[in-house]
Amino acid sequence: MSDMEYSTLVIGGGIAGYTAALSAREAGGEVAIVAGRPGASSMSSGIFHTDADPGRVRDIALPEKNSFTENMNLISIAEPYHPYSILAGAHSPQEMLRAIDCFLKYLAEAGLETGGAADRYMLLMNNLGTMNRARFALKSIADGDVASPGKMKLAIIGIKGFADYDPGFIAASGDALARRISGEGFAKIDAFEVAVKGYENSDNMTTTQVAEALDEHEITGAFAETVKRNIAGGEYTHTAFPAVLGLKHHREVISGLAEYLGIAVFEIATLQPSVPGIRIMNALRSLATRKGITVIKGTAEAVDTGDDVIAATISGGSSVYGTPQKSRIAAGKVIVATGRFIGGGIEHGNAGDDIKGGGAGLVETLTGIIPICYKGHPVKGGTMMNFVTPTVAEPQPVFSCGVMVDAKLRPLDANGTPVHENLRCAGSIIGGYDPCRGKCGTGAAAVTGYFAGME
Amino acid sequence: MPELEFAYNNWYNSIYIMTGTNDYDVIVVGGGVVGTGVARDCAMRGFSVLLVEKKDFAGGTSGANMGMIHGGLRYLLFDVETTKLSCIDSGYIQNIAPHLLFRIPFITPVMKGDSHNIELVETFMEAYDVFQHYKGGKRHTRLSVEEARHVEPGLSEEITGAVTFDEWGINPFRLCVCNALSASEHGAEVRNHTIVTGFLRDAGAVVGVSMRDTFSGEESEAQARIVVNACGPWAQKAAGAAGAEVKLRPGKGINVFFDRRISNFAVAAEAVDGRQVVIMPHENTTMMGCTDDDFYGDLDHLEATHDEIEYLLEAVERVFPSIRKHRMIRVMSGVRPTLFEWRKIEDKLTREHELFDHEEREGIKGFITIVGGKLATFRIMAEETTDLICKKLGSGAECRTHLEPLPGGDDTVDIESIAAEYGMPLYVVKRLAFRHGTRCRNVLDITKEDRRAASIVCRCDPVTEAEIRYVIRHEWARTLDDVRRRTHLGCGPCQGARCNFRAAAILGDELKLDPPEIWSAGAAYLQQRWKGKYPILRGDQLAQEEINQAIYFAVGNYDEICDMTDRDKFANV
Ligand SMILES: Cc1cc2nc3c(=O)[nH]c(=O)nc-3n(C[C@H](O)[C@H](O)[C@H](O)COP(=O)(O)OP(=O)(O)OC[C@H]3O[C@@H](n4cnc5c(N)ncnc54)[C@H](O)[C@@H]3O)c2cc1C
Ligand SMILES: Cc1cc2nc3c(=O)[nH]c(=O)nc-3n(C[C@H](O)[C@H](O)[C@H](O)COP(=O)(O)OP(=O)(O)OC[C@H]3O[C@@H](n4cnc5c(N)ncnc54)[C@H](O)[C@@H]3O)c2cc1C
Repeated sequence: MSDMEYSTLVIGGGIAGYTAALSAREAGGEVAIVAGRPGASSMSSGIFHTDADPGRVRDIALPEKNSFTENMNLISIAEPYHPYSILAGAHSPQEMLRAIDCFLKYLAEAGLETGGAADRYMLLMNNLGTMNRARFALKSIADGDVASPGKMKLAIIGIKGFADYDPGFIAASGDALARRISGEGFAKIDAFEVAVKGYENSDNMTTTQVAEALDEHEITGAFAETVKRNIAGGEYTHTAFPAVLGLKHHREVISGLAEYLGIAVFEIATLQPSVPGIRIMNALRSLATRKGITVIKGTAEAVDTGDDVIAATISGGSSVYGTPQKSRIAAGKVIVATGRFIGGGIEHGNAGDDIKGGGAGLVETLTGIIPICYKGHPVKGGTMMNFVTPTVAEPQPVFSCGVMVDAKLRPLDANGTPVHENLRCAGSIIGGYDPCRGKCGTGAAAVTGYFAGME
Repeated sequence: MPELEFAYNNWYNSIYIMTGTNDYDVIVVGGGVVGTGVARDCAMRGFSVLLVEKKDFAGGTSGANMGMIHGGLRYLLFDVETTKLSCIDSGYIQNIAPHLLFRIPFITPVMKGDSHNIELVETFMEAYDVFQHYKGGKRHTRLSVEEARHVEPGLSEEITGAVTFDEWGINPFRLCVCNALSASEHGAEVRNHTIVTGFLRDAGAVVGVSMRDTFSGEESEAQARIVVNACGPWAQKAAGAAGAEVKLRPGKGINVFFDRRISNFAVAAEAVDGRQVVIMPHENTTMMGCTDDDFYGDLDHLEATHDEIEYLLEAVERVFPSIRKHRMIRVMSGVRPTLFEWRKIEDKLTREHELFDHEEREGIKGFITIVGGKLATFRIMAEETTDLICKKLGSGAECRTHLEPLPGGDDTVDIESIAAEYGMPLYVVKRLAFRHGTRCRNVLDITKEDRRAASIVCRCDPVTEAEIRYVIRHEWARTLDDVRRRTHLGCGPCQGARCNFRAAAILGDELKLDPPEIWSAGAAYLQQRWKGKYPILRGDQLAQEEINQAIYFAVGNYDEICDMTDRDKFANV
């Protein structure tokens, strides 16, 4: 075992972990991040949900006027266990917005432009044929804000052989939703399907396959030509593509297409795997390296919380021989950003004893000593059945479970006292909110990550 | 609210009418394996038939069982004749639907302290061997501890030996749909999503039914010379509505599914109460089942409980210790239409069936109930029912349901040449042929209209767009849940993460639905999947469900969509 020392050690390489590492680096000091396998962040759509108006969560209509900062005040009343509400004890809404701005700034520095604004929601389409409200998104997606459909003449382009994205359905469904939400349909909306050279005979292309194909200059060129021929004479103002326009060279692919077609080009959020999610994680990783952060590819096995030192045991790492290597990293501060069930920060053992013993079987995986909470209180007993309801349209308590933190993002033990002075949590390992139904997944990861690193 | 049939008053207000012309010879109420089987037999014997199912074929118990066509092993001790008949009928089912069958090799491990020692178990299996040839089954083998753990490495170290034997499994959904298809091809009229709301009466006789289409709400009536009550666990309620008595002791059972095949054999295990349960490879999943408990609840709202799931895990864990480490993906609940008996514990209740001639019993002419039995005995139940109908209607037509193949079961399928001909992956054709037999060609012909139809919608199984379109066009599918029964859509490890919205769009295209109806169909299926997911949501499946939640509630915004839509329209019951 070799020993290393850093001022900050981040465990978990999702949006929360990288934001924490970058802000810690900005605050000064040596920073390392242990990034294992991809988590929820690499699956996210490229739309950045930051907050939903608690009074209007179940209403798809766009609120007249509602800014991020106003919303923080509403959330702190309606959802007292939301990390935003807990942070409100130490930070103003403006500071929280600044945290999100910083996350967007990191992406921009890494070459991923973003779009949107803090004082309004955009309306963004997706390949499920529905629509989404969000303040921010990757620019290529934000450019597809359809809040005023009456002004848009839209050509929705699909890709032959990539059937998970059905342009005809997206057009029909999008138009119907636009009419409901904005009271008007698109000035014009049509659907086309275009082949990608070399894949004409594929039936089951995946997002990443298309994106990697379009990374080839020659293939995109031919693709652009076919698109142009298809939409010629349609007098469209915008063309929409699935969010597969390049993985490595997305900037060139998108700007090249826009230039060649001579009209606005945007991407429609498309699952799965999510090409924008992969772009985001690639960008954050390369920025971290560029900023002198040590990125360790490995898994933290344990955190040792001695009285003042805090250290983690890492397996994997940079072994020359490719065999797993164990190392111990001591740090002034350890930030646990291991995510929820996808990331693996929280687990349910499904062992009969755990269920009978308490905590409903939910455990925090890394330290094993931080209790899992629901609505601010440790889960003491019960079974998983107590954390679900029979109706899928209702919020499911299990997806608001996580660790409880104080305003400094220190995880709390069962008595509500910090587990360790130098331990922090960031991202979806923190409970008290549902990242998906609360429409705040990226926002909460970025805000908690930023403050955990900065403190 | 889902529509309630025989809504308590409805039923009792049976309508009295004068005898008029008969629309049909026979109306069969209930589209489970028994009802569809009766409809097929009646149609094949030349009667004009109407089959009415309130939900969907195999939407009741016939779609919630272990899918075993057993040879009646449990009767061996006290009723050898039943074992023999079961084995013979199992053989018939293999002949008429070879594509839907799969062999299930069983292993019965014996543990220290088990009530039966290995000699006893082996003697029992030796007796069963005598009947195996009727159903093309293999003889038992006795295995040492080492041999048993070699062929089934998941077995506990504490076993003292094991015995193997042989059974058959079937796709029960396809079995019901194939029966209905065959009935229809022999001239029967077939309606799903149609509730029988009451019986037409004429001076004590039952002369027809009143019905409601649960989609359009349209009410109608039809008259017939004979009405057959094949409502499974609902049969008691249905009979009561006609003033007849059928006493059942319904037994609820659950089955749990795992994300993959985790054992080579079906492994029998003893539960805490001495009942036998089993984990069993089933299609590309593993099934763990089943419980058997007296049921007093609402037949249309079954929910699995924590206790039922733990009961099964506890039993299996004893012989297959790693069971809790595997991913549970779904639980399915059904209610057995068991005949009433006082005093016995659930497991000891007879699985026999009974044909109620209500004319003979209560003087209600024109009304018959067929109930009880098992999936495996459906054909013989249908035969006996149709024999009685023939007697009543004066027909000498003979039963041919054991001779004539079900749709798609007429020949073997050359997977490789079909895959090459249609340019489809082998594994896709293989799965398709399992469900559709020789008719997989008809399904694949849709790819010639539009190549997009060759794409895979549900990757867990896989299910192609062509198959979804086919079952909507030719097999009466009107909701995504109907599509699921016919194709296995959304039944794999991801439980509908990526196929739901796409399948909804395809359903919309076929049925000319407008976008709000398509969202409703998607939202309804989301709920339908959830119903079987939430009770087992634990372990590794939580990560999968977090992805599903993100797709539908973060990206897809379905919580808002759900509020805007009329989910119940596509949910019925
Ligand atoms: C399919 C999908 C779509 C989504 N769409 C959106 C969207 O449109 N908008 C939105 O705002 N949000 C969306 N979200 C939600 C959002 O992505 C998450 O809430 C957010 O990314 C969580 O970030 P995180 O950093 O907390 O967790 P994660 O991204 O899960 O990161 C945790 C990381 O920690 C690692 N890890 C865990 N344990 C260890 C260990 N012991 N050692 C080392 N590493 C470890 C994991 O491997 C993982 O990489 C979506 C999520 C999913 C799954
Ligand atoms: C957990 C479990 C495991 C089992 N395992 C096996 C096994 O491995 N092998 C085996 O052989 N058997 C098994 N069985 C038993 C077997 O499933 C049943 O015996 C069989 O499916 C009953 O079929 P049915 O047609 O009588 O009833 P059902 O399938 O319930 O059919 C009755 C139908 O009537 C319809 N209906 C009700 N009311 C009305 C109305 N008013 N109008 C119109 N339609 C109406 C219902 O919607 C339903 O579809 C199992 C049962 C359970 C519960």
